[in-house]
Amino acid sequence: MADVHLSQVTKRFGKVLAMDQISLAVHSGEVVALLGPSGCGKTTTMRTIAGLETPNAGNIYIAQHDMQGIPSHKRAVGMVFQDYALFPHLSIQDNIAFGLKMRKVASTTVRSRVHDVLKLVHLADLPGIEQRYPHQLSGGQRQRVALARSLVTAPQVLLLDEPFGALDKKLRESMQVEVRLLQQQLGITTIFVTHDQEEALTLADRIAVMRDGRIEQMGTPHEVYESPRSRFVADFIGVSNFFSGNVEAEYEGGLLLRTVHGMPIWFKPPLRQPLAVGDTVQLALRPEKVTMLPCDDTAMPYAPFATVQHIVYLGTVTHYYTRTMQGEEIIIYAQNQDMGHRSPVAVGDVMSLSWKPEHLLVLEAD
Amino acid sequence: MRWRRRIATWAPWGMLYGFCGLMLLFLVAPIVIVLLVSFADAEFVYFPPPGFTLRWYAHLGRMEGLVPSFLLSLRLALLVSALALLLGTTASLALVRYTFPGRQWLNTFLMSPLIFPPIITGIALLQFFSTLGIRATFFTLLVGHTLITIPYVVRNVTASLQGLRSNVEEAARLLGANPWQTFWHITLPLIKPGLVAGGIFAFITSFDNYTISMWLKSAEDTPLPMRIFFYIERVMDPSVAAVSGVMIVFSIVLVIVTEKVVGLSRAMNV
Repeated sequence: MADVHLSQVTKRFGKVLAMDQISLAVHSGEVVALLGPSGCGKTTTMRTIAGLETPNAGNIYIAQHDMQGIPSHKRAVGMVFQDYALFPHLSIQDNIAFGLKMRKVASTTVRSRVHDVLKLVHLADLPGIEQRYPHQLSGGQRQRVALARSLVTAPQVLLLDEPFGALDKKLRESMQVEVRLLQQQLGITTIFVTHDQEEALTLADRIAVMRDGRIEQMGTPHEVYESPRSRFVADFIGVSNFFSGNVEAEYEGGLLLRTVHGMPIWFKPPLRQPLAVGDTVQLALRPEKVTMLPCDDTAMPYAPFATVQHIVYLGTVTHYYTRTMQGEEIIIYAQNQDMGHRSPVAVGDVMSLSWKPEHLLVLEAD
Repeated sequence: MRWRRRIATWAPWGMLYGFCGLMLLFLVAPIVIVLLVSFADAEFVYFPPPGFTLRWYAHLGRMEGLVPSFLLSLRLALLVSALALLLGTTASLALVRYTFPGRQWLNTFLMSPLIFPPIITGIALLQFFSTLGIRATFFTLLVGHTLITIPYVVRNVTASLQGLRSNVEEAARLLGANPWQTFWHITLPLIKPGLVAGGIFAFITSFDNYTISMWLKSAEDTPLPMRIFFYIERVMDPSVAAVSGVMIVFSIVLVIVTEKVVGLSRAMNV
């Protein structure tokens, strides 16, 4: 298996800067998600690794070999396209065998390798699958074939371009688990592109959050979710409540922020982010980290009171949209547990909100 | 009241079928008449035929220069289609796959033989060849016919290439196929309908061309359409209808072969 290394790679399309000096290291056997909104450069990044685009500057290394001047067909990179790109005029057998035939593998070996890889993607039990044509298969089956086709040549790196985008939700979730298990079984270095944060969290060892041709933050799912560096990351991965304002005073070993709406918030900045009175700060707070209590049982200094404005019941969780007396809007996700003797919260109720100060994330200025 | 509703229901269908029937009649009637005349037991083209005979078909072999002309036209049309396919396909690839200055202009230029009156194109080519001191031979016919058939290939192949998703070619590249293998194993089979349709159009256009051949043919070579015309000028007997009969059968065979090879509707991009 091989690692993939990008060093200061830049790619321009006319005036558009699709990749702006991107550096990225993907370790051998790792799964990395390139996550971002459309136009952030994630697909271009993948295509330059595949050799389908030539960078304007910078270097790409696969297994420590510089890929400059090496065409796609000599890179030992497998790729599954968003729409699978199966060859419509070839049977499933010939689709999967294509890579082997290009490598002049003996036809007896081809047969057994195709069968093995069909077994790997759980298609071997489908009678007569080899003789069918792509248009005769369902979306999920086509994806399995595309995966089999890219794996049969034992590539060093597997690239997946929005691999589950065309599948419905149930199938998507089961395919995600299946692909992850398959990847772990083969230990193949995998890079995939997605705009779906949930998919990135489910599949990736590390996530590179991209924006405007740059990597905004790279880290494990836990890191990017729990300590997003910027508002963009906090907003793109999961949902966040944002507070911006100025540091008003030091208070009880922490700082007191006065939001633009005039709400006081007490927080403890981490040591790596020293702040002083007067600084402008932006804080993020995940909705599931907020606790809602009846007015009389408050749990923290400056606990804000908020009126419930809208309730969305989703089975396992309920989303509460609240507004504080100062006018800050705060979303709260609460697990639906047995409420005991307490009456359920209703629209119009005034509640006391609380959270642990360490859950307030200090964001870097954009 | 009931008959009124019945008319309202059936009148549109009746009109549709009536219209289609008339169209078919209009298209097929001349062919049927020619076929009937070719069997006519008469000394002149005469309709309705007074009796039926096969003697005009037997007469074909004795018609002066008919067989050499047929073979010449066949050879010419086959070579022209091959050449037009080669040049037209490569031109289409350039037009579809690359953006370069003057691309639209080149496209219009390649289509211009369709817009230019063929008689003008013929004169222009004749002057061009005589300026260069090239005598009219099979070669000049080949060049002239290829020129006017390229647009048919470019049109059909361009349509096929535009319908082709470029990522199947990328997928082939990533599976280890070099650009030539990708073209041979992936692109070519997928644009086959366009190639077949373009090839057929080129063949037919060359096979029954008169206006270009008229200027570019040599004294000894006479393509079939010109041979038929010369013959009609002298005698108007049903042997000409018999020649047409052979050509009609020939066309039907071509249609059947196309249908078997690619499916006619796919070949014609409908």
